[in-house]
Amino acid sequence: MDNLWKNIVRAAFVLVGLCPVVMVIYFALFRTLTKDYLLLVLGAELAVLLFIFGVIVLYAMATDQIKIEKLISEPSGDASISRFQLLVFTFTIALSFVYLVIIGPGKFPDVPNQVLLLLGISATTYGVGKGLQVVGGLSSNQPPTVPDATHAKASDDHPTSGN
Amino acid sequence: MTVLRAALRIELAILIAGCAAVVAWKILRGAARWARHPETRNALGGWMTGALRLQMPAASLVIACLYLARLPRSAGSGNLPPVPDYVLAILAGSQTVFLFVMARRLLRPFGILRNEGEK
Repeated sequence: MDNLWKNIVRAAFVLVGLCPVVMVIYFALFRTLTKDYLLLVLGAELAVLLFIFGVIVLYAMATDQIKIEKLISEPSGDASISRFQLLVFTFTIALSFVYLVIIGPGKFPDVPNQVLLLLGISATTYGVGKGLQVVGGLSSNQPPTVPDATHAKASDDHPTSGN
Repeated sequence: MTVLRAALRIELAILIAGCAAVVAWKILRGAARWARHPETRNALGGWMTGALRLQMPAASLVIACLYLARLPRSAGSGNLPPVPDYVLAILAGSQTVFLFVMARRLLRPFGILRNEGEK
């Protein structure tokens, strides 16, 4: 199954690679080869390549070759609140950007300073939180511990988690 | 060129929808795992610590949702909607509280933020 997928991707790349050659030869022989046609071919090529790359990344994410399940977790498996908020804001701004490009007048949107500040605050919290972990001498790479009664009592002092 | 532009838009829409679905599915699965993880209780701490920590993602989510809700009105201008200063102030305050809670252990040697009965 894996080989089949790889062969399909290889075949797609070969086709995409051959397409401009075939089209340029066709236009040169049977029509007038103009700059517009060449631009069209180039644009179509880029669009197909972009789509193939996107599908490959999507496939890899769906089949766990690219693992993103711990994107908002610590390596130990517990919750990472600052990663979560950074992810929320990054996705919000990124999706807004894409939405405006697709729906809007087609120009590259201006980014207001407040939005940059928002992302800055969000990323700074994440960075400072990480720094606090390191200064506190408790790395987030600690393996998960089994909570017992003593641990539960001291749970209020657990600065590793939640970042 | 118009056809190419339309094709690009459709392509982007397919990729973004696919990406959003896969990322949401994976992240939610991961989140469900950490929600069940015994360490998450420790991550939140006591009810006060938990509340002080949880207010930050809650504020972030609310601000993000309001921002997205405002987006269609800005589609005409083609620019990202600005964020009011007071929203930035709320966000900064919320995140400062979160960091303060995180830094408690570092502040304890100076006699700040001790638990009840703690020397």
